[in-house]
Amino acid sequence: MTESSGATAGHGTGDWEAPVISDGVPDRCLQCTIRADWGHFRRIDRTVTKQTYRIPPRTTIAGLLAAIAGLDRDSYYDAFSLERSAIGIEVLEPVRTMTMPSLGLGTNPSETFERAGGTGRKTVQVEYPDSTTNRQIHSYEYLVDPAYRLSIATEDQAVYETLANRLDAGTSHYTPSMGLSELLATVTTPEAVETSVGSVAGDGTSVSVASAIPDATDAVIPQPGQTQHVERVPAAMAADASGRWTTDYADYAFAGGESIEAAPAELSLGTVGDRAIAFY
Amino acid sequence: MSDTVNTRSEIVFITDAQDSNPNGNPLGENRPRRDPVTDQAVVTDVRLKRYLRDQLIDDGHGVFVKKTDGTSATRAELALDVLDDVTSEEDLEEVDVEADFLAAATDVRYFGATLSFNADDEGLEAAVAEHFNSGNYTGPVQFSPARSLNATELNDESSMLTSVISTGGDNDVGGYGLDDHRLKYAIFPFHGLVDEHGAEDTGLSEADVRRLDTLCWRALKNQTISRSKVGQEPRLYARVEYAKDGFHAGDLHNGFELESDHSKPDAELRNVTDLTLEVKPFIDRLANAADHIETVHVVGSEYLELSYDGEPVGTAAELPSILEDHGISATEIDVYADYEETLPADD
Repeated sequence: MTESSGATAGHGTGDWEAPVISDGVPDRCLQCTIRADWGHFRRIDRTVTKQTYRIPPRTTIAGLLAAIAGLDRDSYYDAFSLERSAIGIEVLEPVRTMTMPSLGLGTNPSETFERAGGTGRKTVQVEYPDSTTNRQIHSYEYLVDPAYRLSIATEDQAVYETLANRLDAGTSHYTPSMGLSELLATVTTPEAVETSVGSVAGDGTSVSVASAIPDATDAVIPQPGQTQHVERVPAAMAADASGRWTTDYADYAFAGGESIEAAPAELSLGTVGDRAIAFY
Repeated sequence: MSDTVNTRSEIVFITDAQDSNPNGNPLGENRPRRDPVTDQAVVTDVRLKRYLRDQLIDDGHGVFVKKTDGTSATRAELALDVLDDVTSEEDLEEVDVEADFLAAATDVRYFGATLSFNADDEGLEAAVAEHFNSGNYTGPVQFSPARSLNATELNDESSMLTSVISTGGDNDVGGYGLDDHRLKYAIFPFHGLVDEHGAEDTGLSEADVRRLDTLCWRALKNQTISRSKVGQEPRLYARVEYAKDGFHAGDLHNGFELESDHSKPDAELRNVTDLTLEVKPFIDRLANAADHIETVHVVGSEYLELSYDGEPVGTAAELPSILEDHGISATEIDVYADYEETLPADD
């Protein structure tokens, strides 16, 4: 990790102590909001059409935070594992999508690639998209004006500290994007980027939750006139030398821009500001 | 690479389209892309990058992603052919094929590319893949798809091209229709970023970034020449060059809006002279971030009127002095004097 800057006056080493997470709820968390004109979180269970998830998968959020902090690819999965981190996702705007096809180069190695170099037996051969042939049509589904507020905690001291410094200074190592590198995103933070997480008051049977509700669709209490979405998204991943893979999924329930009534029993709830957030 | 760019830049590139189809939808009879809810027109990053690549080709630079019918030099490919000589990991030290490839493929330095490598000897393949950053080059220069500032209308008068044919000597001449849909008028703010850390992966140089300052402008001037693409012009290009602290303001393209008192309603917009662009949010945003800004490189059209807080302040060509008035360092780009400095050296 190369750091060109980071700490601002008043936040030297030690000022950002990693939170303690118990029963899935951190005692403190970082807050930021990410917005963009377009977003695309490609569903991993579709092949030809590039459909998008409506909320960023937890694994995508980990990648975004790693980019801001300047962590290398494959180096941050432990810091954002389900055991060591807790993330709350608020969907701030009603979700709308628009489909845009684009003509692109094929990426099927056996059909649309050119080769250069040797035979590939003893010498090296490189394959790359043949850019002189006709383009293929790829249909992408984009989110229009996506906006999410994140509440973030990890017990990894170094990662937490780097991230806190970056968010506090309003800087980023790699430039943040909303799912695809060209979908440039803007990250904003409240004046106090770190906040304590309080317990949630309630009668024990119903709580109004501002965030998306993970893995507890049974906990959701439907309300008249409210449209709720439920979406199954990747939640955690692991990597070794051969690649990376998803290790866990979560079913998130959300209603764009609105709180959802839920039974608190199965949820890891905390209060961030004046909002009840379900951490996962 | 030693002259790799090490400052971040944020770009706003405003273009417009008059009686033109700036980006047809191949799954919608090639109609201009529009948001069905807001009627805003859309131009993808892919379309913009095609203009930029085509201008690079015309300027004589090596380009990896070529035109479909192009006959441009394939120097990037030739650089990769050198891999034929690589039979051991040691050879990689002798032939710096990655550096040659990136030097030859100007568009890969900007926008990235994907390669994959084959060799039976696993050790060799791994060494080559590592040498080539696993074959994944993420572009340090990114542009978002742009949405027009105005709600757009389609030009019905031009919706049909008629091709007149006769199938044989005794047959009547008949006509058949070809769809030809154009926007009456649209003005687009593109948002771009140059990521100084991504630049390390592709060797994006200071000269490459300086080239962007004239390339975007010239590409829209020179590459919008086909029937449906005529009518597009570059109107304002501003590259905010930031200090070396990882900061960028973000969202700068949203700092422009049509000034209602000095612009015709969306439905009556036909021409750049029908509107005035309000730049207060853009300028205020930059003024707040002035400590982080080295300078703003600007070129603007004298046909595009600007206002600050509703008051006319001059044309886009005068933006540098408007920025200076608000305490923001600005540098004027002289497109046609500057571009020759970043042309490829004569071989």
